[in-house]
Amino acid sequence: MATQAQLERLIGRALVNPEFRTLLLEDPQAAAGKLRYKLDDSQVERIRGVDPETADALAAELVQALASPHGGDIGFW
Amino acid sequence: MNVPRLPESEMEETGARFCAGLQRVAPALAPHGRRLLASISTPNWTLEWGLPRWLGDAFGLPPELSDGLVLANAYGLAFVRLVDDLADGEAAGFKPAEVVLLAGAMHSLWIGQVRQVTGGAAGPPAGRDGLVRFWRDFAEYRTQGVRATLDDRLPPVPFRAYTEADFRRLAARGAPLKVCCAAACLLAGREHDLPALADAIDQLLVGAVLLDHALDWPEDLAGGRPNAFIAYASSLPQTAGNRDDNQRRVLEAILLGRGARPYFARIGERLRAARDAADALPCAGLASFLGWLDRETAAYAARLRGEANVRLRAAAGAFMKL
Repeated sequence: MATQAQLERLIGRALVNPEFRTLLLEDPQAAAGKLRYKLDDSQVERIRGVDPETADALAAELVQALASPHGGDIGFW
Repeated sequence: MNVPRLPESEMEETGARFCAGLQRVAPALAPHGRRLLASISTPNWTLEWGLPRWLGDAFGLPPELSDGLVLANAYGLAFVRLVDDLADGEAAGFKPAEVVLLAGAMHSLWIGQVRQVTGGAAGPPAGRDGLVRFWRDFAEYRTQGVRATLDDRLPPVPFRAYTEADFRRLAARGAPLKVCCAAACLLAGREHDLPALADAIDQLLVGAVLLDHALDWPEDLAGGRPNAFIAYASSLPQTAGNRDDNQRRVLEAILLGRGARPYFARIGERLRAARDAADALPCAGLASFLGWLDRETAAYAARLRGEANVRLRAAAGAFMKL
């Protein structure tokens, strides 16, 4: 069973990486294996039940938040 | 914590002299000069305004000489900003002809002001030889800045393989800032301190440019400008074709790579090395500024890391509930 921290990293990678997201949704165990994590059956089932379009929307929201300009205020010649 | 700035009254006094100088040599450009002055008087140019004053105070220069160095640096900063903006295609609010004419005027005023300060009635303690060395340094710092402006590519190796020379070249656009260091050392008869001081400024500039790239990476990625923070996260060439992959790798570095902590640690190392040198001079104003910038950098890195953790946790939670 993957820990909460491992699940967060697994899903985080899936949300910023479209190819990895596709793999996670199609074959959760294989995706977890790439990070050397092991999911239990209930975790696999829950991930398989995620709607790809909704996951894409969640990913877009996260990417938007992380890749927004920070408006830095440090000058440089 | 507030950035250590020059007093407002001193900024205004220098600004008035700045405008009077331009009015004298090119009256038609005076309105543009006022806009230019306003654009370089914001808090993000604190170092450029403060450094000549801090050095003057540290070296015990008469106030009128320190004032003259502050004004000279303001002209130099204005000139370099105009040229940089023109080179980057970002001279917003000015027509190209206005930028060229204004830059020419600023360069003349910069040189004239430096000449006036360094060649005053008594001349510098090191005499004519000192002046020759000073103008040689002036040319070298200008050349470093011009070279860096013309060639702002990233080193052709992964970020982890950057050499010291690579880092310093990244920061060389700021080399003209060392002109006021050379002038202050010359006027104070402390030319022996210039190598350590110039090295401290180089370290500061490396830290500042790395921080600038970490703050600006989304804009640089979108605008196709070379960016060291993107290079830290991705060894792919920074081409339009790799934009999505590079963005993904930066996001992974932020989200899954402890908020790019090692990158910010490098900035901190540079700033602390510069601060050690400032303490050794000693130059309290510069040391104070470096301490502030180091704390700001650490705070930004911690904020980035914290926000990444919060967003990661929230996104994972939301994902598992879908």
